[in-house]
Amino acid sequence: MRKISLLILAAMLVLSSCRKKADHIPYIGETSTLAYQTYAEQFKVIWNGLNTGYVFWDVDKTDWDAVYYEYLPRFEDLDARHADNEKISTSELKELYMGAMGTLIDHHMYVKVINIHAEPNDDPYFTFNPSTAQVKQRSYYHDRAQTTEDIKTLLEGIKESDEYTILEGGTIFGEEIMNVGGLEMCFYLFQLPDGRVIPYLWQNVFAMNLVMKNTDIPGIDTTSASYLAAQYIRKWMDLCNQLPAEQLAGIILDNRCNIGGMYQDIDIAVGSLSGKPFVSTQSRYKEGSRRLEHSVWADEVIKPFGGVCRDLEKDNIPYVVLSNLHSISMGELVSYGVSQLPTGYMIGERTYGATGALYDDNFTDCTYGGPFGDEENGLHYIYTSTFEARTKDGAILEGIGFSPDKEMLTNEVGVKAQLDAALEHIKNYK
Amino acid sequence: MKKLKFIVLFLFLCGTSVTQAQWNIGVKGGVDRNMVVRSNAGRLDETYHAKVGTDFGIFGRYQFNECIGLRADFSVMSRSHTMRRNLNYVKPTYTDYKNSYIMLPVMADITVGFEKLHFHLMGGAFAAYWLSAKRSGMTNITVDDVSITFDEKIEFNKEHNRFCAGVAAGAGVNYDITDSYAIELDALFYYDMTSYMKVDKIVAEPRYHNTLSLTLGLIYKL
Repeated sequence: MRKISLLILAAMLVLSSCRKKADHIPYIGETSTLAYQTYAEQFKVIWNGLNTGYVFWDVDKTDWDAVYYEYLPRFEDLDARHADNEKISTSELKELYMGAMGTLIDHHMYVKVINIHAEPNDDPYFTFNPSTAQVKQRSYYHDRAQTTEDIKTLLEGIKESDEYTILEGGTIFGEEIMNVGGLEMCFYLFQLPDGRVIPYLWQNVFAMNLVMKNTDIPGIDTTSASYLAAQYIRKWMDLCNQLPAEQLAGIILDNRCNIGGMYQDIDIAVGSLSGKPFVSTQSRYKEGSRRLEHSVWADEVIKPFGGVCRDLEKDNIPYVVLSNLHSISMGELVSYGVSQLPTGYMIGERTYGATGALYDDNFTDCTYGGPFGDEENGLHYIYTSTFEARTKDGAILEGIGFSPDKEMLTNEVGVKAQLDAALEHIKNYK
Repeated sequence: MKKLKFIVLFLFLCGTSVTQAQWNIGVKGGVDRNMVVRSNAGRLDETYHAKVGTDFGIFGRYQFNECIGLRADFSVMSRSHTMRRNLNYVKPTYTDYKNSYIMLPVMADITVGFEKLHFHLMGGAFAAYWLSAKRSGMTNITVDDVSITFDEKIEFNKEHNRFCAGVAAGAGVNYDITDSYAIELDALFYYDMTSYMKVDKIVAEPRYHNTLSLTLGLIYKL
């Protein structure tokens, strides 16, 4: 009996040795602490992290295996040159990574890589966003900083006309907003000649809930820009939610050059005006190390914020959202959400195409995808989407963006005509 | 000495067993327990657990003589497993993978026994085809931070290896109810030699099934 057991055991051992062994796949959270000594190792860590954790392999046309075969020898060549005491410049390293990763369609992606053998007088690291070069290829491309300035100039100098008067509001540009660095915004309450009003809000980032929370503290300076920002947000919300239908002509949310922010704000900007919870997109994450292993698609349910919910359809109130090429991430997800409301309407340009949401760096283990590395102290940091998103129709628009109901290109009509079109749409809405 | 005794006993049982060369055909049904053998591929909190499923099919056996036969089966068998996430979620996060396979083992069959009661030892190889895949479970990983349950069909893609093969071995006990009919209880073990996911060249991450099937069959002797 013992011999038979040994025979069976021997047979199992022989058979198991016929099975191919798995290669070591590093834990993605560990790679931030790896103190690799070679450029080739650094490339392999980044390649592996994206190989297993990148969420867009089903739609991304980049041949990631070909990238490995083409670029690994080139990084090995850098190592060989470094061994021969040759200087490896950070710009040369950046050029290699831009070549290797430049076609990845994740429009959230941001890459930071330390030059592990940088000369003292050279940059210690480089950064780039693969999407920056990609959006420049679009026929309607315009510079974000310039367009933002154009919008701010328009809003600061806005004049009353025969079409509308401005009852209240103002701009907060270049001020320090508590815990939301860089937030700029504008609130106006337009009034049409028939007496009905249009609440208007422009923001360059989504931090509505955060700003309200941050300023909801005893003793806050009520003359501060932070407090005023919260007041503007609350006013816009309250007017949208509570004004009687006969007084509210329509709503404008201006997402042009809004670079995104907190996901919860979609409940304020869309959920509270939708009548009931609704779904405009679905999302999924990586559930497995293989490139095509994803979780199921889950509805992203947009809910009323704080239990406040107005049904714009019931009151037949139009809601116009302005978007442009530089409506990014939340800046475009909110726009798409508004456009899916029965009275929603999107004017402007096809958006940036950063459609997948992200968990922050502390939640890498949730999916073993999304951002990995260490931006502050690591030798690499890759900011990449945790989720892949698709519309209700099944369209995955990462790198493409959401198209407006009415296209008005900035390069052709300018930023004022887009706002005028929004006011016109509301004025003529039946 | 023990070995000699065993051989003598084996020859004796062979000599006294069964009748003449013949075909047996049968239907079988029962349960199976499948386990996957794989690395966690750097996904530290994932664990993989066996799942019980069903195995139904037909089989045929040709007896060359009293103790040597050749057996072939055709069955539809579950080869399922569960993946559990052990992160500190409030609610469990897991996926049940439910797979159906067509199994085609061909095995040498050595029969020993008595007038009505026979024992079978089987060993050979199998080929299989992955018919369908489903998954169900619960996840807490969503953009709006809610838990969802799911139950859906998995669409095969280029990463799935739908054909697989391996070795099969097992044992059975057979009882003749009449001259024409018998019942047989079989335990078969399927050991895949091919990965059910295609194996990449740069980073190999093979995944294998090990399946133990326990079936009860009704045999008709031609």
